[in-house]
Amino acid sequence: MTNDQQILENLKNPALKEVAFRLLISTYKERLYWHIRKILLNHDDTDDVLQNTFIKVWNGLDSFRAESSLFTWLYRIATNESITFLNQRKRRMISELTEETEYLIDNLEGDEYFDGNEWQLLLQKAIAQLPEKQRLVFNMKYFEEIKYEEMSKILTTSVGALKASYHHAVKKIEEYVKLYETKIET
Amino acid sequence: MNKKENITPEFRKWDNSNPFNTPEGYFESFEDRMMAKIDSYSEPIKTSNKTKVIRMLKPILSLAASLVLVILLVQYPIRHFLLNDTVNTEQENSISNNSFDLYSISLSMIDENTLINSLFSDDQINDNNIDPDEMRSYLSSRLTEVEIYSDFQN
Repeated sequence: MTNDQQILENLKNPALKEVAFRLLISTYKERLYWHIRKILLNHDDTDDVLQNTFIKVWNGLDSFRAESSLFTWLYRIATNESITFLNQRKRRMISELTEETEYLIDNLEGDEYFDGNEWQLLLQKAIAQLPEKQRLVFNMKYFEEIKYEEMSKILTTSVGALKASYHHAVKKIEEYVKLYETKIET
Repeated sequence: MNKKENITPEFRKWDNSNPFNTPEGYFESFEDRMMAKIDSYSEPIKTSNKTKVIRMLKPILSLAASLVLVILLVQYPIRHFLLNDTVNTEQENSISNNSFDLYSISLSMIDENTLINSLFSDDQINDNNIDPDEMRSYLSSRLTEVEIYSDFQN
């Protein structure tokens, strides 16, 4: 029996539910944190969304169906929570005449827990320019190295569409980097 | 294999270490914070039926209360400023009429003799004058009320 199967089995038992959920958090907290962090860029926002994700998971344990893996289910909830959070911010930003990209870059530059050099900052800025779907696919493929098949289940998108999204994302990032790298070098 | 999958872009050659960081000890205490939060969320909120009914009726009650308030606010100045004089005169008239009617009805029901008798009569029942033997014989007798009355008359 795998670790996930053991967790799921114990979650069904009321006496072991809390212990099992604690184990679920321990197993997935870091992976989910970094997944959310790549989308939101800022630690405080990520912390909020990660906590909301686990609350959703706890409340939705009864609706979890064993045909999808625990990993896929958790990633899907975390991704949806991150997008919902960004959309809520976007609604507020419209009144403040600010773009989502601008918000993300401001978030990154204002985050005291970003230690990257200027090249890494440039890459993050380039990613922030991408449309939402391409940004998600690029992060999941480039940083988290999630397989397209898994990604397809999480984002409920065909493998072909995901590959195309990644290809477009890489092209756009390269163009952005070429445009701005001269400023760094000079 | 699809070539698109094996893209090695220029930025791949850069330092690929994680540029993001977390506060010290963030992950170590995460489970405890999370479980405490879940416990606080899981506590059932006890709402009695009474509270539910009040909650359901609240909008209706507040609407009714506002209507009453509006009516009172409209009625008060009309009653006290515009119709004050008219109402007072009408009230005075009605009171004096009622008093006169009652007075005349009472007078018509009592004739003069009855009134004088009731005021100056010396007939008073003196409990001390009742003889116990008489009382006993009265109680033991099987006389009807009519017979008792005729006895007393005699």
